[in-house]
Amino acid sequence: MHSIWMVAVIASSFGYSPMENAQTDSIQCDVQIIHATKDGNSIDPALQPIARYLTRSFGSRYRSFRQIKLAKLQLGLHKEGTEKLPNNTDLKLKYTGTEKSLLRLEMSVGGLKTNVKVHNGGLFFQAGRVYRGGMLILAIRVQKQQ
Amino acid sequence: MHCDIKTDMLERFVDDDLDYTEHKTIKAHIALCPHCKEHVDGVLQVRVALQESTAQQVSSAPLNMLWARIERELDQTGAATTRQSRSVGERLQAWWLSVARPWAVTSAVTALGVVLGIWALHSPNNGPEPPANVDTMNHAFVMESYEVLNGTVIIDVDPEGEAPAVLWHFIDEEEHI
Repeated sequence: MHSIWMVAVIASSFGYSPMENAQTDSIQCDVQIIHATKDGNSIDPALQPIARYLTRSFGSRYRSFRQIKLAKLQLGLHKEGTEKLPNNTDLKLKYTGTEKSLLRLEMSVGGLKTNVKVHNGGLFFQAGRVYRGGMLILAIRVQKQQ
Repeated sequence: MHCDIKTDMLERFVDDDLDYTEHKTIKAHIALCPHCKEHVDGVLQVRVALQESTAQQVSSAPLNMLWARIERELDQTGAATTRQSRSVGERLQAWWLSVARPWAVTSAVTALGVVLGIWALHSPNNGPEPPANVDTMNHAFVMESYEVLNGTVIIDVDPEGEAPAVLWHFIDEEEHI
């Protein structure tokens, strides 16, 4: 028992606290809200780093991609963030934990609710909803906060 | 933290591709080196994720339709063969095909090997590093569950994790251009 108290005292003297560590378990979700259309042939410079993924996944149907907004959601463990989308629906993301290098998320958007696991730093798309003569694409990148 | 162990050795360790001494050495090293342990854990995690997502794709693929079609094709071929009595010309043609087909297969395999070899030589892995603004992250993705109020959900996952997954959700009443 004595040694446990010693460890606790030493740990606290170095500023370590298990409770504090749990509180700092957080992720950042970068959500790029993209409008894809058939008109023209242009890709917003803001989308350049993911341009090849956009053309690979959606290029057979859509030729122009414009970033409407970049939203950054910082989520603590079991905390939910909401982003209002241009088609009057809400995107809700909730960080539910880590499984080694995979981050678990609960996502809810426009009647779809899902639980997914994404590699730390990885990206995924949510798409399919009609918007202003085209389609709305959400590019969601999930990164663990250091 | 700097470590002299090459990642190649760690990946061969994960693949169980090392000899007894190397395996023992790396295992002992991993027990002491958090950097290498983290790398090995990461590789294992990604592989598990890819296996899960591939299994998910296979389980959701409409294989029953594919097999039904294959079986129909096989039935038709079998019926055609048993129905007709073959002429001398047809038998000669059959003999020629039985001789020529192995060569054709060998030639096709060789040609494929050459094509793959050329592709491997020119593949980006052997070329210069990609530009800084090109995303080279791992996009492993696993969908655990989903609920949908209305519409159709389609999950498009790259088994290699190189391209991001696409989670499609279509609402039936909406009209796409």
